[in-house]
Amino acid sequence: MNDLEPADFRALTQALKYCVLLHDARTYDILWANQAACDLLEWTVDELKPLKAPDMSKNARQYSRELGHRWLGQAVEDGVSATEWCYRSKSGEEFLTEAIAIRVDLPSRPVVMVQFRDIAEEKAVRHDLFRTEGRLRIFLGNLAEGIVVLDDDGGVVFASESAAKLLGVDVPALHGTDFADYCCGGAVPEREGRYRLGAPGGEPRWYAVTCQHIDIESDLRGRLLLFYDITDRVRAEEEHRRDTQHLNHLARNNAMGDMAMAIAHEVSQPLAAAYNFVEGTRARLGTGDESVAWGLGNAVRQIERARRILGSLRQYVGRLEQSEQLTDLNTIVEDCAYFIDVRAHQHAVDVEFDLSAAPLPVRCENVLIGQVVMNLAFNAIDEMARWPQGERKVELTTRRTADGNAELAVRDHGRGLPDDPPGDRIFDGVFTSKENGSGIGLALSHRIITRHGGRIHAAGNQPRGAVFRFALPLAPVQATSTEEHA
Amino acid sequence: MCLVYILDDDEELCTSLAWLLESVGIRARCFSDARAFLRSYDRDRPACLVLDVRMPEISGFGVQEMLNEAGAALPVVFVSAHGDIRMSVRALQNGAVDFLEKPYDPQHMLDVVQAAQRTARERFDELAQRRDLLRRLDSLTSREREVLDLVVDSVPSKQIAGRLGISTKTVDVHRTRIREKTGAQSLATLVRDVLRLGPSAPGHPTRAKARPHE
Repeated sequence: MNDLEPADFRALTQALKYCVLLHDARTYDILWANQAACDLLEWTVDELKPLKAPDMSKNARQYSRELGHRWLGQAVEDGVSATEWCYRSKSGEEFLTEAIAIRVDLPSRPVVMVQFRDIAEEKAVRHDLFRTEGRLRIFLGNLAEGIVVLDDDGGVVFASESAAKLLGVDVPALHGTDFADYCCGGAVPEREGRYRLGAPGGEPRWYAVTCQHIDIESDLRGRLLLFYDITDRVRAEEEHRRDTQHLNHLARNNAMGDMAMAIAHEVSQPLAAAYNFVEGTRARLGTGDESVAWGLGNAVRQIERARRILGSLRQYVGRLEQSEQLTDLNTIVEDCAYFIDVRAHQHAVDVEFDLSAAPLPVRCENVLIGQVVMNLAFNAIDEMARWPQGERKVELTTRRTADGNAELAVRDHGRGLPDDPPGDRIFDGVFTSKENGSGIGLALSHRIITRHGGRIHAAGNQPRGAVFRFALPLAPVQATSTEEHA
Repeated sequence: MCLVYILDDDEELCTSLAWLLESVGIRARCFSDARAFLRSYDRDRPACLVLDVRMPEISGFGVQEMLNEAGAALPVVFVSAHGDIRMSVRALQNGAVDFLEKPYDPQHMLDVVQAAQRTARERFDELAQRRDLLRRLDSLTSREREVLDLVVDSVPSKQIAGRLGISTKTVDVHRTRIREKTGAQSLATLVRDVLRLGPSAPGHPTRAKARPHE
């Protein structure tokens, strides 16, 4: 098929689906059109020949005769020139086309051959795509959920703007990095769940993460992570858990209180009887046997001790049943003193009470505040128990602060505060000390104090050890004088 | 001798207190049941009562109330294994002489019981005198009672005569008869006794004093 006849070329040209118009390179008059062009524009070649641009173009400025000439002129000059041209058919239908003008130097004369095809549909598709993309971009930009796609090694191959925003970095910084750097604990999520994420060095937050494998036309494949911030929810749940724990603690406390009261009642009867018998015996003995008198005297002392224990227990449990009331911080400390002394004695710790002479009226649930006092004191005692016996000292002091608060400080001489977590985060529940059942923990102490409008904090003690302090607002004085003796 | 009643449902505690009291020569009678005590309580002898607050069936407060209603003069010492301030205030308001929390110091209990015994003796004597006075006043005629009431109110004889529409002389006769019938040394001592012991006539308001719960 090497030698095609001119007739063959004509047939080929006429069979083209591309439209072809031939213009004179000088006058731009139409010289000829192929069958496809005639079909589209609904004119015969002869009808086309006299037509000028306005006769066969959309009536718009960019399709004026002048601009048409300029386009064709460019082709004459440069050999080729492309544009978008909107033709109009005989019946008035308009076609947006991609039109390429090419100068062809025919043996007879130079001409400009324009090839064009209807691109309206393509154009519409492209426009749709563009619009969809624009919308998607806006949606993604405003999405609360972060999206990242990771390759098999955990490298970030795609990150949405929202993901970058959540993690506190920008998208380019995220691209190509190892996502494990953003995961607390260093493990990239592999299944749905709650994870702590955050930029290296930043404050991690809680996220709910879903995870799936994607493979989009071998263009984007890997692990798709969708995540959104649930830190507030996690915190609320944590608080709820603590509150529940607190309530359970109180309920247990109450039940124990009831039982302690019942026991105190039952024990007081035989104790009273024993005391009567011993005293009755002592009276009968008169100045009799000295060693018997000595024994009875000691029996009396032991009964006295048991009485004091019952007294403390009753006083303490009795206060369990009262809710918020006006009381003196010193009284609360004194109520707890017996229990603190018992604990201190077990560990051979020397506890020194230095209470302010001036009253410290506060409005509070004194049982709860008492729990905090005991918690702090027990912690200090437990800490000192690990030191040589001569050094086991804990001090409890109360005072009125310059800014109108009643303050309690518990000072020990132990190892001091841990560096991690730092001092002020010791109360946020991460640091739960040893929880051996007797204390209520620092987190609860913190909640109790703050709920009473007070402050609690920990600091180092000099030369060593720690000081835990809480301060409660002092109650107005005139209220004290009327209710204190009620 | 002033008797001490002990009422506590814990029998051994009763026994121990009796043992203690007897060590200083105080005689005690133990009861672990309120009804048994109320049946055998002898109003004609001076006595005091050590009373437990919490007992089955009738509480200590119930017993105190019954005694008050019956006008009994016996001083009550309350004891309780869980006394609170409200409880002791209630007991004292109703006339208890003291309130002790178990386990009490026996020496303190002895002091309290001895004080209660003194109170019992005083109340008993006073009651005996009042009964005696009432008995003596019972022998008077109604006219003589009228005259006596006016004398007690410090009304002079002349005015008594005027009010009752009788002569001064007749008033003097009544006065003499009153003194003789009541066996008083003088009318002045009788007036003093009436003022001191309160009730002078049946239906007189001061009689209500013995019944504070109505």
